[in-house]
Amino acid sequence: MASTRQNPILLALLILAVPMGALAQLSEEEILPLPQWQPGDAPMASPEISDMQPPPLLGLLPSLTPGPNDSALSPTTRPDTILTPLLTQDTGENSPAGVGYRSANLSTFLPESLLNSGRPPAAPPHTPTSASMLKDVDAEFLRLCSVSPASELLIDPLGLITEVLQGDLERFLNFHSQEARFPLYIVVLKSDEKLPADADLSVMASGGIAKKPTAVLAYPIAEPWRARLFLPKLAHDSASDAFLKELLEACVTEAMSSPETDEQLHRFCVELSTRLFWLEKLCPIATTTEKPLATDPHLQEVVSEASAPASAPASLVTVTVPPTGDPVLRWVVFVLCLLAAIGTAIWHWMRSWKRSKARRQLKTAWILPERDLPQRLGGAFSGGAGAWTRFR
Amino acid sequence: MKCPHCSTTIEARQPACHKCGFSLAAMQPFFGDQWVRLERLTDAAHCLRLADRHKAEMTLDDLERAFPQVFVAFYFGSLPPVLNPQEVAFWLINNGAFSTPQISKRNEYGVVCVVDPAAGTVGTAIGYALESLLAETAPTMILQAMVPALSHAEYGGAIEAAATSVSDLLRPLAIARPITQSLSPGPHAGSSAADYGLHPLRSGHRQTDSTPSPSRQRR
Repeated sequence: MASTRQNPILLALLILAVPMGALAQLSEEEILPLPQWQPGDAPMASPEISDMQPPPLLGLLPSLTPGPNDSALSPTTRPDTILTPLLTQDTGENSPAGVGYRSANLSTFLPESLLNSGRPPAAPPHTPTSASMLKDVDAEFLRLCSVSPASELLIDPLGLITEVLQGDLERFLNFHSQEARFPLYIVVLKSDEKLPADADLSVMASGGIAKKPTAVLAYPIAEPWRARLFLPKLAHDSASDAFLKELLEACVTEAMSSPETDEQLHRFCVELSTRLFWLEKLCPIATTTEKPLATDPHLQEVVSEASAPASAPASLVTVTVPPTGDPVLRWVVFVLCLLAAIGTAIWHWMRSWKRSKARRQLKTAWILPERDLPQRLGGAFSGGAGAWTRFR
Repeated sequence: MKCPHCSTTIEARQPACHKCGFSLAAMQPFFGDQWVRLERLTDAAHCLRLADRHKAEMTLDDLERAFPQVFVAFYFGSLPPVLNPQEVAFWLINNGAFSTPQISKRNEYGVVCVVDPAAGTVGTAIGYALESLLAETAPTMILQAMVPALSHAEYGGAIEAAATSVSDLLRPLAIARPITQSLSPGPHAGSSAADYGLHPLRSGHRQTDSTPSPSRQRR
């Protein structure tokens, strides 16, 4: 009976003890200094990055990408916010998404090239270098270009382009040299540098440019409109000025469609390669009896009037391609058209005048007066008036 | 006026050249005293192409339409070596019955050009009526117009050049009169085709023996 009486007491104590323990635990948690994240604490993503498409890297992280059923994610767990430390190379120590997505950790199992393939931070817009600020490349640069192996079609002694783009371009240029008639050499310059007037392209690439007909592109980084293209004489003479002008414009336009300097160079080269294939079609096919093309070391530059250098290199022949909007050309065309119109009008007037004159003459008879002359030399109708001569 | 043979000055009414004795009668040993019938274009040398001939005929038609009194005739052929083309032209204009669209044209208003393609010579002679109107250098000017074409063996072009030259020389001397064309015959119009120079073939056959030749009519 005693145990029976104590059970309700124990049961009551037990019931009271449970809420007390809970209250004690709650108060203890309130005391612990756990961090409290607020929406404003998350690093804000830049608008440029927010507008970007997810890079290919996200395909390897399916849990991070927004799927069709992820619309219920809270603002703090949106993919752009989560990826911000990765794209901005932030250390992520304060990241609300945790340290598991920091680039430092991703580099442990992803190759460096893939990490670099992500969108870099938006670079400030490039300010075009004024003509007065342009300087010639130094002698060391030219020496490095001259000692570059002939097999290296991409000549970048200063390492101005990234390793990834360099590999891509080398593979692309090698493919072009195998398939095309004219291999393409690319010399990468700084954005504020230019080739000197006395530069001799034939000595570049250990003389590989002079050994066979090649096309050479001097490309200042980030300024594709200052790129200078040198073509073999055969190719230059085979193509019309309009074709070469369109070639340059197409390459520059294609390059300028991207704001990134590496992408500009890549686009420029792809477009130029395509145009060089077209240019080959215009060149006459060399026969076995012809002089070998490789012995023709002359390169001719294709330049537009706006970008024509003040003094072209002595070894190059500069051909000026008038731009489309040249006012002089428009005046010449206008004057020629005007002269043609005036000439046509005069011709029509003369023709109609002659016809009307002939029509008038058909309606007019010319009557001569009659005079009698005494006969001579026994002639009844003529007295021998006349003349004779030799025509041969 | 100078002698066609020796270029000695000839006076009016002089029957023969005092120096060389040249006259129309002196040429009878070569051509006789008979009249000859000539077309406006007589190509004895066979140097005219068909297209040139057609074009020359139209040119001469225009000239004769503009100058109803005048005709220009051309003779292409080989000449005797002792005669120059001016002498032959002189004989032709005096002994030729030229077949022109208007048969009533008088030889006094004629211009005869003689071309010897083999010898490379060309000569001309003009009738009394034109001689009285034109300057003494007019025949030379006609020849000068022909020589460039003849030197390139363009005989059709030479004919056109001569016709144009004659037209240019005569136009300032002539009086322009409009040509009136009416379907209703006037009071002085002829009553048959013969009045317009169209002679019926059958009647022409019947009257061949009795009627004189056109050249005789002219004379």
